[in-house]
Amino acid sequence: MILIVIVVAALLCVIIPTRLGFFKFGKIILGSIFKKPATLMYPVVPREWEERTRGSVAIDGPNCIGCGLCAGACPTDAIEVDKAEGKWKIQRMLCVQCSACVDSCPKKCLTMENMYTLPNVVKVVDEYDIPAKGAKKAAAGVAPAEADGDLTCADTCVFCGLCAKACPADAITVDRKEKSWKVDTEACIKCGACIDKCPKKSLSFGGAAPAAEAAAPAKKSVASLDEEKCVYCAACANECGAEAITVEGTEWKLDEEKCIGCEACVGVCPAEAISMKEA
Amino acid sequence: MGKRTIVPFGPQHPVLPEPLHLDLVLEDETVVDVIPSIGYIHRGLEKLCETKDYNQMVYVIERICGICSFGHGWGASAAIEGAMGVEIPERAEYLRTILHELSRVHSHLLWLGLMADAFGFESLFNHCWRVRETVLDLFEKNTGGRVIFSICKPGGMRKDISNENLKEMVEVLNGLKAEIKEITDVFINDASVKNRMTGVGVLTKEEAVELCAVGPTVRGSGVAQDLRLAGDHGVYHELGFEPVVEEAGDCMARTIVRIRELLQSIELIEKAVAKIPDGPVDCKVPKTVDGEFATRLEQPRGEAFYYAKGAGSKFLKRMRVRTPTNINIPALVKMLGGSDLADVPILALTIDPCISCTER
Amino acid sequence: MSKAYVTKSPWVVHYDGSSCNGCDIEVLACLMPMYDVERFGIINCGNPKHADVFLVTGTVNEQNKDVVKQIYEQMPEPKVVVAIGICACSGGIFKDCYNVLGGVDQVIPVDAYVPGCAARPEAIIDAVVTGLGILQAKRDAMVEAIDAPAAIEAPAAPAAASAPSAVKYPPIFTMAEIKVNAELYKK
Repeated sequence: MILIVIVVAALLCVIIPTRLGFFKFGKIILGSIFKKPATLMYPVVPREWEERTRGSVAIDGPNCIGCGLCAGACPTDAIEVDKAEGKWKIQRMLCVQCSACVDSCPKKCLTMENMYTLPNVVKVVDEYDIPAKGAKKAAAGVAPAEADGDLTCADTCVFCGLCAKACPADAITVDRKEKSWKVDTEACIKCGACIDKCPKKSLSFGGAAPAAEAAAPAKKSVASLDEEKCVYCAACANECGAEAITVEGTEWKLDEEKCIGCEACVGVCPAEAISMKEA
Repeated sequence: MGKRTIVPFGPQHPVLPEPLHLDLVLEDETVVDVIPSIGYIHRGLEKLCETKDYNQMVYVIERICGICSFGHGWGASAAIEGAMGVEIPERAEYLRTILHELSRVHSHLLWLGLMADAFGFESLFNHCWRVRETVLDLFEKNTGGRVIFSICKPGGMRKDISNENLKEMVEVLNGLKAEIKEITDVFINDASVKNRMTGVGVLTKEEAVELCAVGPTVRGSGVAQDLRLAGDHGVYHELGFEPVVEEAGDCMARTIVRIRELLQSIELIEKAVAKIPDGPVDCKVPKTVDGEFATRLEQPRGEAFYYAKGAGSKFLKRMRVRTPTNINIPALVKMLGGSDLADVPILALTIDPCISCTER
Repeated sequence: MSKAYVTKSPWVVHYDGSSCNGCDIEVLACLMPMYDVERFGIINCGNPKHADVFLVTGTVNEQNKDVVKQIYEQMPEPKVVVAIGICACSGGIFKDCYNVLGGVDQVIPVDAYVPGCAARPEAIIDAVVTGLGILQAKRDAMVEAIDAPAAIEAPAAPAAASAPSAVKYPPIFTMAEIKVNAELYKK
């Protein structure tokens, strides 16, 4: 009984001034009494991460080729790649979790984990081993002779230049007019990004004879568009190494003279609207 | 007439999380003169463009300020894109606009909380920041970071935000509206808040224009100046809105400007999400920057200016940022003259000072 | 000597060296209802002479190194310094700037480093609780020094200097585990 009287009195004390426009905060306070607490109770209840939460960089060691592109992309120089000793080092107390290294990795062996690095009493430096070359190939089941050696290009090359565009180290130069393909073996980091990109699958490490002087094969096919499917996003125009495609508004144009039939546009089209036809 | 005394305010002061130092010249309890001194946060990051390439420079510029971090990333990217002569896809412009408005919501809620703390209303402070956490969760879900997003890059956005996530963002913000209105109602109508803010720190329209004030500070003095309408950046011209203007020029007017902008930003996000086109979010950019470009951006605190000059390599020759708080300090000094010592914390906060922006 | 429980209600003082605000607002967010470190008895105070734990964010530069030193010297023993965010740990993204001296450890001894840009509130809570373990160990060392002055040479050397290698703390701390941390610190 007494309790009820106290509660009613307290409510009146809050409500009367509130109605007078004098104590506006009363409503929120009263509301908060009946809501459950906003506190997340962190150490007792662990935090649930979002899919994109950037916590700390992790490395999938066996795939690393020690190219050092991550160290170059890092804005704080937190990453150090020692190819000679086969070590990949990260200074945890320097990393800003921008994930620039993750984006730069040609082998996709770096990932951004959700969990942050724990506080510590020393400046933590984490070290990972980069596998030696022979061991990695044995593990991958590739014959050493085939996979070793410099990057070469077979005579199926159409000189589209996509490999040069994809190269993170700018080691490849392609001149379509001169029909020349060159690789700077000093600059090449052997990441294999160009091999993945090549629409004609002409590239390999230590493979068939170089195609530097080889003539372009006779043109067999050119791109063709299915206008029903096209969303005019211009992804094909951006990708085209020969600059044969132009997209303006809802107009898609192909310069058949320029088209080298590399099929790169077919690969990037999000709507699967491009196919190859006889020239 | 009392004796003149100089009272130091800051750099370590309970009301400001940041080190701003003011020498207050007092006559009894009245401030007669103010000598601001800065430099406690100066890092000199504009010079870093000599050792960091243009992609890394965006990460550096983003870290000028943890509150308007997205705007800084956008400004730097836009200046570099301009110098390259690159036009980014429309969807990226929309996403940038949406995230920028979201950071305005976050920034204004943060400021409202700090303001409540400055006049001793701690529970209101807590409530403002409780609401703000919901906005931070939205940021974490969509960009991966709570305060530093690292999602803007020269050439567009590093990640797309799916349409479902954008719709969910609008739903969450609409759900917040009721709570925001409830809290801001306290700022506008509560008698004790009115007592502290009405008629305090009046900056007339003429003074505001003469001292080149920007952002909510100038809009609170009756000048309709909003860079979002200038059409330099984003898709604001397609969304259509009127700048928020209040005439009184006192602390209350500036608070009301920010409260109305808070709700306006939520509306703008809603409109942008309804109109956003599908398509790619980034485009190819050249590997080197040549040429120069300057651009302006309406940050939560006012006009910010970005300038980039390429050197024909991947490094920039010069990167320059001018930030809103820097420009508002003369207005602050003007407001402080003649005020009571007890009002100094409120007045120092009323321009929404961001010292790390000011000093870089 | 009777047992005082400094770790039951540590007071913190916060100073922004030259950070970008990111870590500062996360420190403030820790004091807000969502993270609410007052659950652990932690109170943010403006006066360094009231404080047990010093939270520093941002790098140190020529202008503010004296301010940081002053605040540190005003704090009573035992005290713990927690560097929050990578800028305070090692200079971070600004370490090459001409006006940046480096991390806070260039000026004052640091007991715990919190990585992150910006440091997450969860990491800050972890770090403060880690700091409490160190605080308790320092206090115990002081008590022992008073009880048996000959046995102890110097009370509480900075942890960073004496710890031989990385100490891995469990991800979630409870008050019981603080004692474990204190043991680790002593080693």
